[in-house]
Amino acid sequence: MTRKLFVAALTVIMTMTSCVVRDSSGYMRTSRNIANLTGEIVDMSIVSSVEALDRMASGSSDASMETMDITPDGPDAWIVKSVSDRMEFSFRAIRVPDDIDGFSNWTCTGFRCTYRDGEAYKVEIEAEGTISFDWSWEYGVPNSYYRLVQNGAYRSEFMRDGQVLDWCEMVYVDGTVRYRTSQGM
Amino acid sequence: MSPRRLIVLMAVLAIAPASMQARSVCRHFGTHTGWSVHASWATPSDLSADLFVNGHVGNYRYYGLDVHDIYSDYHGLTLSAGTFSAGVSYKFNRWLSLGADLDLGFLWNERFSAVDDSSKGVGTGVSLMLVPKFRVYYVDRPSWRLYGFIGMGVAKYFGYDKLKGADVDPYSGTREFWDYSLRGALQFVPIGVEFGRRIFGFFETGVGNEYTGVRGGIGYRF
Repeated sequence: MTRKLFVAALTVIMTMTSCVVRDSSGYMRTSRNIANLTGEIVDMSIVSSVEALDRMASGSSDASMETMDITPDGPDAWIVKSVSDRMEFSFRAIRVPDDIDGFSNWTCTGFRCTYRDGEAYKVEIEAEGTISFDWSWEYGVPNSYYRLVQNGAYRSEFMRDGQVLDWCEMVYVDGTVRYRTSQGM
Repeated sequence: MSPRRLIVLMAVLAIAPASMQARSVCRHFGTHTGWSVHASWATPSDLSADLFVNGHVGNYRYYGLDVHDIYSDYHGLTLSAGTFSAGVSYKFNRWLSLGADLDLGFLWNERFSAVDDSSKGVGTGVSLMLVPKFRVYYVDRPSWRLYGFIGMGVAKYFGYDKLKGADVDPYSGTREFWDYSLRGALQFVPIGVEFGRRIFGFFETGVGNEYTGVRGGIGYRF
């Protein structure tokens, strides 16, 4: 009887104390997250700047250009610098007129960007060579539109207190992205 | 709800207990009105587990992760000891009782640094809830009863790290604290069974902040 009671009590206690309610880990340091953030920073910096430059070259301007320092550097060429609390970047952009569709293409060199998250974390991104931007007709439903597609490669380094934790190599081919990171493909 | 429907509902609620009481006197069915107390154990709440692990209910993920999110701590299996409750209720008639439960739930998991995978110890979350209940008896017999209830109350979550934090405003640079650890609590139990007279046991199934799954316990009727 005592033995049965002991087994019953033990069963109850083990059931109560070993009840697994979640087997997820909440692990976020994945290749996908590292590549996604690299892509977002590229979009926020060079891509949005080239779009703004294109609007400026065609005679219009908007509020996004207020944070940028745009200096002419020869015919159809500009040096772009931007400094904000979280992000600093610079590059040289050259406009290449396109006689086929009338939309200018762009070639960018020397792109460097530092993105900060708090005091400890930062991401440094550098373009590997030239990044070219071409306008491409995007077919969609209900609307079709022109969008800038890029060709080129970037390398980013994720740091905490100056120590590199991860890197990401990102290659754009006609707007399609491929990446490789220190956490895998 | 229209005013007319509300009046009809109030009239039914006012008349029904008297009607039920009359029937119970005639047939000597059911338990007596009065106070009872109970204690129970239940399987853990899915909602509380979500709040403990994710800081929100459901499995969706926020997009737009920042760098510190990528290097935030991760955790091992999340375990729970379930929900322990004690409560009191008053049975007004054969079909209605009102009461309240005080619930205590425990969850824990081991935390790891995403930077170097080192252990950062065990994180424990405790939920404390006070949930008033509106209980309806479907069947009321002296030795067994079928019931269901809806409970609505408040929950305070201690040690639920993802319900509290601070953000730095990117424009002003000021640090803003936020705390969502005090929340509403809901519990829905479609079916439960009580067995026994003065001393009784019960077993029920339901979903909500108190528990998800089943609950069993014992009680005493005064």
